Amino acid sequence: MDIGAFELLRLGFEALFADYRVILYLIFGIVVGLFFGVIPGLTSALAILLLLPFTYFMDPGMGMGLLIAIYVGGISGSLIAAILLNIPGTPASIVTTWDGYPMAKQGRGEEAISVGLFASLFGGLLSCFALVFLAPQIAKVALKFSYWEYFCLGILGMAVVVGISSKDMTKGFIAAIIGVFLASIGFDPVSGTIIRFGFGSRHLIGGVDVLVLVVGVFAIGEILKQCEDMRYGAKAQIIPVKKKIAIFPSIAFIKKHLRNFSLSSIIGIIVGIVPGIGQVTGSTIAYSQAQAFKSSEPEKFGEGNVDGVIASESANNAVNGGALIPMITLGIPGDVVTLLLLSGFIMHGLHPGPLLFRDNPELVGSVFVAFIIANFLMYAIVFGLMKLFVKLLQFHMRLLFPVLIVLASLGVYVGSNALIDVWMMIAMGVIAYLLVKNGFPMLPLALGYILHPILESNFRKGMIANSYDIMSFFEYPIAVVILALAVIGLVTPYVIRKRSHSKNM
Amino acid sequence: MAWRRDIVYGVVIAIFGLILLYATSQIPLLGDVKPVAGARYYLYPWFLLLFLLGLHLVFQGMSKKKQAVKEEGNEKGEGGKSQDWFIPLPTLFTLALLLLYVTLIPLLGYQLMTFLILWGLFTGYFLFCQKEGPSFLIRQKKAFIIAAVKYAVASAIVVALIQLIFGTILDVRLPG
Repeated sequence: MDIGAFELLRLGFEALFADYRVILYLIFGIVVGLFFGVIPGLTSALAILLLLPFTYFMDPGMGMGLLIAIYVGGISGSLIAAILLNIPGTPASIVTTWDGYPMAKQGRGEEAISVGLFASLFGGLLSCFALVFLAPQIAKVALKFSYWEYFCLGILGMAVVVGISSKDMTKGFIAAIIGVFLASIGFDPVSGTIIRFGFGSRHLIGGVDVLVLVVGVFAIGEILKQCEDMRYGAKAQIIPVKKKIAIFPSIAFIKKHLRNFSLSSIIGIIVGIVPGIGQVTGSTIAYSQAQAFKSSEPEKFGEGNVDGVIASESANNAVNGGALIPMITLGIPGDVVTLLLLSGFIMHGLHPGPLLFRDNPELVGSVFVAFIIANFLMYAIVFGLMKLFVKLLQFHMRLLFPVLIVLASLGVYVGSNALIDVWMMIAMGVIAYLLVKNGFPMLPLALGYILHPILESNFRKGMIANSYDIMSFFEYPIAVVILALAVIGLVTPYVIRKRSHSKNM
Repeated sequence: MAWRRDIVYGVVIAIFGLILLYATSQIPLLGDVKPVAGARYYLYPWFLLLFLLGLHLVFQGMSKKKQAVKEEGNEKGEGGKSQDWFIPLPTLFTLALLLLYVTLIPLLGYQLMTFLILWGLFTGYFLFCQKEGPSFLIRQKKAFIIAAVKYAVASAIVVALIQLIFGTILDVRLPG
């Protein structure tokens, strides 16, 4: 476990490049991610979902590398639509529209894209640095955790996500418990002999597969929801790119805005580490700091101030690396994409957490290396294929959904070679659609499903190890602190929402 | 009218919570460990909480109704933003084709069914996106036929690509 950051990188590099095809997979992942990121309505999560089943046949490091490349490409590509169309390709770039689109209207679209992409690279690389150097340290501490600390970490992850991602906390909790129920179907994780909620069906003995759940909830459910908007409408107006886009902003420009690049990236990293907050909040906070502390012309924010684009794009890409830290060190995903990456690990029979650093350091290193290379590749590919991506903005969803539906079904089938899983995927999709329609958030549901085995097995093993004395929990101060943080994480967003509600009254 | 949906969902969730509590009580208690660390007891608090949250949602719906009545002045609180209870036609259409697709794969084979679902969805979505809606099919027959042929070709190309990439290159076992 004394493996440091550089040793992890060396091991990862060796493992990842043992097969030369990895570079092709990374390029493919970036292109797919950019494709899904550029087209409004498609997200990097959807792209990961579609390719997740096919990574089953790959070496775990290579498969995870592919998924991470999609993640990086998806977040970075969305700025093109945000700037030229005033519609973010993915929600991560909402804040980029505030200044990016006005810049494009002023004939500065090329400048906005160039600066935005450089900010994406800057934020992405700074978050790589944080990931590579912080993650091994956190894992070292987490390795000393007992059952109770793990149980409380699971509670913390769930509490924060329920608190933050739900406008209505009751609905967030309900969604999380539905996830708990879905995870408890099948063999009991501790005894391994008792079947729960099988309802006499042999198909339920093995439980609900993670792939069936995530594809059903986040792909089919999302497509059914977006189909609601399938109607006649005017075509979006794209501002054309006329001039050549500079590959790098000038050194003088970078020097002038270095503080904004750095501070926004650091905000993104911190926001990424906290579960459930995500890119939009990260870029909004970074935008506010840029407006308040950095720019000499704060009144021009929202009218085409380049600092706005820098803040938004540095922060939303920096969230990527930050979000990977709790996922890989503690097994707690902070958002949908890291949850899907976690599902990728689980599909390969691996469980992210401190033990992964001890038992599979080359895999952890592969993830780090893939993340670093993906950031550089993203930068090169997006410039190389810029004309194509601008053309993609005119693509209509009605041409993509049929293909996505067929690929999602095929992906789920490939995982088990059983059509029953496709049926279950549809059922999950319909349930998700009905729940989302009434304001139930889906991230707590998926997190309930992912965290339940950690919660249950650690609680029960903790009880057995401590002679069935629940009060023994208080003998573990770190567990008590984590539980207190969970309560704070749950209550704080509620209090903030209540306060702002009463202010608005 | 958001209150009505909260009440209905709340009732369904509360009943579901009760069913799960009953199903949990049927989980056998085996092994040497005490029940408190067994396969059953850990689940009780979760499903009890689900039941209580369902009830809370019902009460939340009722208080929303009171507020709606107060704001809108009519007894039923039916005014305000309309509540889309109904599943829109494009969503129902997608779901129906998806169900048909999975049902008929074992009978008609993967390639044919994939072609049919793609063609059906492309063509259906095309109609939904027309100014006249699905009545475009009757009003502009010729334009519809041209679009339908175009989508048939596109569907055939997608099926061929899937067969090539997944069936041949990746050697994946396709359904059917």
